[in-house]
Amino acid sequence: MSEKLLQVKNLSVRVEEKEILHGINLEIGKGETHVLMGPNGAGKSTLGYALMGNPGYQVTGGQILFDGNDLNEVSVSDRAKAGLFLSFQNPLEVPGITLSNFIRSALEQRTGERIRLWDFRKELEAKMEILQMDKSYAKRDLNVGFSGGEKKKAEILQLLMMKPQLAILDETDSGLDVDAVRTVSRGVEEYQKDKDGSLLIITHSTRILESLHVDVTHVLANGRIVAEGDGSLVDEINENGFERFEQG
Amino acid sequence: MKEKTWVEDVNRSIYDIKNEEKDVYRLQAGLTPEIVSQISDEKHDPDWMREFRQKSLEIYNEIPVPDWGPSIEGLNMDKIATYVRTNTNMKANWDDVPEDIKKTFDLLGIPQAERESLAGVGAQYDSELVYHNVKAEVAAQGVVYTDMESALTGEYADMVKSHFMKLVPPRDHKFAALHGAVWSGGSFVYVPPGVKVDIPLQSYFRLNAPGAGQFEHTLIIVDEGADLHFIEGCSAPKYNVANLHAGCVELFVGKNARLRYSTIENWSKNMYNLNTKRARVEAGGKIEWVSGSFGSHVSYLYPMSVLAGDGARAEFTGVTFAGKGQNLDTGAKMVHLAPNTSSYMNTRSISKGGGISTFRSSVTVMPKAKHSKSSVSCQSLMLDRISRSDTVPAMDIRTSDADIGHEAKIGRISDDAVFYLMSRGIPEDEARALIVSGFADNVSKELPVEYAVEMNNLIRLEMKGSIG
Amino acid sequence: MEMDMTINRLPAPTWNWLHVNEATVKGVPALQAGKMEDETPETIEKQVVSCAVWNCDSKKQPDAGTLSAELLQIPGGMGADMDQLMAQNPTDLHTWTIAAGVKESEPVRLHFTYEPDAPAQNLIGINAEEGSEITVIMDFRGTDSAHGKLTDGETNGFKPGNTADDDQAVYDESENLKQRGLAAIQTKISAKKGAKVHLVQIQRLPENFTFLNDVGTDCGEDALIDTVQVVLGGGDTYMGMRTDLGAKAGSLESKVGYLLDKKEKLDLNYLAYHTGAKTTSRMDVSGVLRGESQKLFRGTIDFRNGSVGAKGDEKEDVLLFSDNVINRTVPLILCEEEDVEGNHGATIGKLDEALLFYLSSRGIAEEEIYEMMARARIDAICSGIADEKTQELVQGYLV
Repeated sequence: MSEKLLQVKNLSVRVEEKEILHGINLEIGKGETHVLMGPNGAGKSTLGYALMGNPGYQVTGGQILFDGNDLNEVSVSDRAKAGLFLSFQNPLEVPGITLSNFIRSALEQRTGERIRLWDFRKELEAKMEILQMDKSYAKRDLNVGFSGGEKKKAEILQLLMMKPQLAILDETDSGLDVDAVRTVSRGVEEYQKDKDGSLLIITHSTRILESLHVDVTHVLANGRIVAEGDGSLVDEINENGFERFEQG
Repeated sequence: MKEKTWVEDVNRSIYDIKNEEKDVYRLQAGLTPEIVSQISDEKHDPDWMREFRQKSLEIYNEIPVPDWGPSIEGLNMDKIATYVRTNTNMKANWDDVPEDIKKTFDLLGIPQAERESLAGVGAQYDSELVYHNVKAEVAAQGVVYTDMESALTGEYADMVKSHFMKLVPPRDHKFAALHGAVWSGGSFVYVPPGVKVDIPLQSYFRLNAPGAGQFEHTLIIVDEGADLHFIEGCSAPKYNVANLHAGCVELFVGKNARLRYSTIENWSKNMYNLNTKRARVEAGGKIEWVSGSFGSHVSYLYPMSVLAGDGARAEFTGVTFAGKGQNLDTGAKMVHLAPNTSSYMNTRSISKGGGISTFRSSVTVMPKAKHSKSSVSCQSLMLDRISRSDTVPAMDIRTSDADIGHEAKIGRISDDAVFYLMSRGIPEDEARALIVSGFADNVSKELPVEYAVEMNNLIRLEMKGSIG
Repeated sequence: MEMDMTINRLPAPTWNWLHVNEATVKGVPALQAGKMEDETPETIEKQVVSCAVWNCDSKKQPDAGTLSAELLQIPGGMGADMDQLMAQNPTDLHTWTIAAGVKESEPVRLHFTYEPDAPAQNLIGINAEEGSEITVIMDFRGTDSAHGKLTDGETNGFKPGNTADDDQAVYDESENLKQRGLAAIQTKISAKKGAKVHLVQIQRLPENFTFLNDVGTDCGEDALIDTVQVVLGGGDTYMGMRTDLGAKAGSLESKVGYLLDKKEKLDLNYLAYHTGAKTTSRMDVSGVLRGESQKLFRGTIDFRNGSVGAKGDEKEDVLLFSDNVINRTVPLILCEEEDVEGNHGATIGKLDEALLFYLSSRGIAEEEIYEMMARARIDAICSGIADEKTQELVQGYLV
């Protein structure tokens, strides 16, 4: 198929004193949608954090290549500039900075150019509409006082505005009601369409996947990839759960 | 068993028993080099201690009285007989302790407490220890628990010399200097490396003579990896003349060692309690202070924890109850010198019947103390309009890599809470006492049960005192 | 005649070794009148009370019953030495009065320009009669020389400082004052029954200045004193503010924001003095320390007898961006009344690591995140400024 955007080679990750991931291998091509499933505590979020470069997650072995470049020494913000995006499971509240100003400065940081306010606003409002977000959220402080659902939408809004090459969605569907999951999925589809973006969707349920085409499914258990398959693996897990992967 | 926490016949008079002052040797009041020298004679001080006392006296005369705390004008140093002791030598057998002293301690429950739950007990009456005993199995572990005078010349003389007033130098403040000059009595404890003392050791201080001072010195060294709980209790009967307590507690907590130091202080309300307590904690060690202040006319009491080693920790849990005629200035000081250190302060103050309570604290984080944490929480309760409650904390932070939190609250008993309890058939005074006891449960939860009971009794006494 | 001043005394002193009980400013020279321009809406009456009239030089109290007497007896946060400084040099008292029932939305704008080689002082009075509403915006700037070229203090430089082991808490300014500018201002505010006074102060003096800024307010029944003070520049800044909440249901809203860098010092003494029933006070102090800067905040809520049902709240939030800063905080609650509620909370430290990671994951460089968060603090403080022009002024300054 296409060339490899992300290559994870034999990656081991430690958090504090404990090794969580043991020799992960994973490849994602341009435009592909991958799903990372697994039971609670399998290390799914750890992989997301390690890819994004959270300093609390120490890479003890292996390599992460993005667009052919080793990310090992690359700072978090430079990874973002290179086109990686992580949608947080629990986005942080940032008082004093509005959602709109935040996205704008993140974009300006990336391009090094000032963005015309008018164009920016128009695009922001269009994306907010897709996500069924009230316009007033643009002027509110980032995530401050947002409900769980609004926080997740604000993450997807950032995704749509920043247009990364690879988006890692960490449990973006957890804690959302059916309607909200649908709205968020629509946002994710938009991202796929808009930019031929690659996706790594971390989830332990399958709700968000209903309307998305999945190329590859990875199953993570006890810090190892224990199974891989195409989109149909999702359906199998849906039916039988993770039990058969957890043994051994 | 003690299943009932409210002892119906609790009575402050047990703390107020005065014994006739007979057969006593009493130095003249006032403080001169001659008196200090006489103390040295009396105690057969080694030469270095003789010198130390005289030097401390000089410092005492240089340093002014504190200009920031409660007034100590009622304390006339010239009238304080600095050294009083009964004509009794220390006993290791409770039956040999003189009858009147024994009766006092019996009423205070000391030997009984020892029988039930303590590893060792020292009881100090005025300036000297009258009773000292350590359970055989604890002694067999190599734990040393003895009076300071014996320690000064005994097997551990060098250890005492190298630690004595090193943590609280006489220059620290006027009353530390006074202590250095006239100290007498107190305990020395040494816990060897790795030894865990499962049951608490206890010292009980009793000041009986009117117009006297008590200046006991407590020196505790908990060696690497060792573990100890030490309990200190204090009381004195009420006289019309001012009494002075200027004790000094120096605690050395070794690497990865732990020391819990619990105090229930119930000096009588003519006492000037100008006490200095300090702990130095090495890497990975922990000091836990549990402190209840109920007695005294005036108190200055702020145990200091010096976190000297990487990862050292300190906790201070305190309650202060200032009733009529009391001005209790209490709190704690935390000094972070090393990386990864943490300190935690949780205090409650209660003011009632015209009493004044002040919470005073400091948290100092030096540049080397990277990755340190400190959290201070102090709550104050005002029980009426004639009392006073002040909160005077300070923080001095000199590294960015620190996480410092502080919260203070002041308020009164909620009428709703009183109403709720009354609606369940509890009389108002009882309801208020219950609420105040609950307010102070940060400390009572940390105390051995019989001390928690004693503390709740004290709160109840204070609460009842004003009603009716 | 040089003067040694002891100011910003802590209302209840604590251990001397902490060096927080007061600030000492030594060698304060004789001062002349500071340059001030004003824009005053027509509804507001402006008055100049000459030194001779308010008796500053004769060391007597102003004549009883006069506005100057009323204003000048309101105590400030810095203490008596500041009053004495004002009286020691021949200074006119400039007052602005808004009549009963008049609510003016257009602010009084006062622009102060100080010169480094001309030590100066200003004395300001604000008098809001019953039911009136007034906004006063003060903007402090300095010139780099007597020639009058305006310069703002630099705040955007983000350079790690050298090692500082400056343990000094008694600031001896006598050497400094020989080489740098000095400006002193005292503002006395009287808010009568039901009146609302909004005071905004923007301090952007160059770093070669020592600045003494004292405010004293008297808050009447149901009145509101609302202050926003932003410190963006200046070498050494001393600020004091005292609010007397002596009448029923008066309230204070006080916000202070600061960005300190290099060797800048900020020494604050804020007092909410509650004697009236159901009075409320809120103090919100927030800022950023960089370089080798130092800050000392003394904030006191004093509940005196009679303040039944009063509430006081103090909040402090300090971000430390360098290992060479000194941050000191002394938040007091003094209380002699039962039915009151007092709270204080402080958080001091560096940026939360999880937050730092979150923002970096969006491609924002670490230095920029620090800038953003510093700006966010000042923005939050400024959101309390009703006047858009002033908000823009501050924000423009921050970009």
